[in-house]
Amino acid sequence: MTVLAIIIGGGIGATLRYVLGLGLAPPTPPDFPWVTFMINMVGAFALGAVMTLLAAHRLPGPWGKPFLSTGVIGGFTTWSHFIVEADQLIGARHTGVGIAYLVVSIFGGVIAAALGARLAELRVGHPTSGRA
Amino acid sequence: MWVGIGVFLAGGLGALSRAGVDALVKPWWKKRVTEPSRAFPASTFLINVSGAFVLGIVTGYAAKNAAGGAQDFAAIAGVGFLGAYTTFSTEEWHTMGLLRKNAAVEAFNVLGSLGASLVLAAFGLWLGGLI
Repeated sequence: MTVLAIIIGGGIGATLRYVLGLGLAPPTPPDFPWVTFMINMVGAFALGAVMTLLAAHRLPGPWGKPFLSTGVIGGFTTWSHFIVEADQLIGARHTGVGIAYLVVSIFGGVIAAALGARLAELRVGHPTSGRA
Repeated sequence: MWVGIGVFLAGGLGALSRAGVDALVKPWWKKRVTEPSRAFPASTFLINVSGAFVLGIVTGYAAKNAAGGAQDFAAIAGVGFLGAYTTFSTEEWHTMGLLRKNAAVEAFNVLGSLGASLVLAAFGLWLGGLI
């Protein structure tokens, strides 16, 4: 059942990312890759919240972790596209935009994950974050 | 429509592959390595760096081949499988946890992941263009 939860969750996450990319027509260099950026920020926020709720036993553990965290959110966010987009920006001599994309994504992702965790902490009423 | 179904299935397999690598590498790393290196998320590092390299190849190939088949392949293998195999959210979650406990391991993790991924993906983009 765990395997099925990961496959279905990962399929949902990847399809959602694919549809968003099609619908929003991903920008090509030298534009800032904001579709992937927003996907990764939303996903980091959601993972922060879900991990905190899991640690507080507010989500069904056996299904919550494989389906939501490993599957949907892990499949939705992407490291490989983030890296290749940055490489393409730098390769097309838009080095400034490429480096800004890297820095803003890394710091933005940590802030988003912390915000998600904090919001979930407020919801469950006691600090639990940092424990996965 | 068929490409969308392909992306769904490939995404599911990508997430499952990530869980598989995680299940193999994580216990191995925890057993072999002592603190503070133990805190280093070795499996996520391996997954993200290898996925970025292969996506470089797929993207380089699709950029040189405008045919519909190559674009569908890039959607299924790239957006579906590799997009779901690699993960940004887990990377950021580890980063947040490490920032609180172990800043040195954290700096190594972020800079190492970025550096290795960027170099290997650039090499992959070049390789893919040769196919």
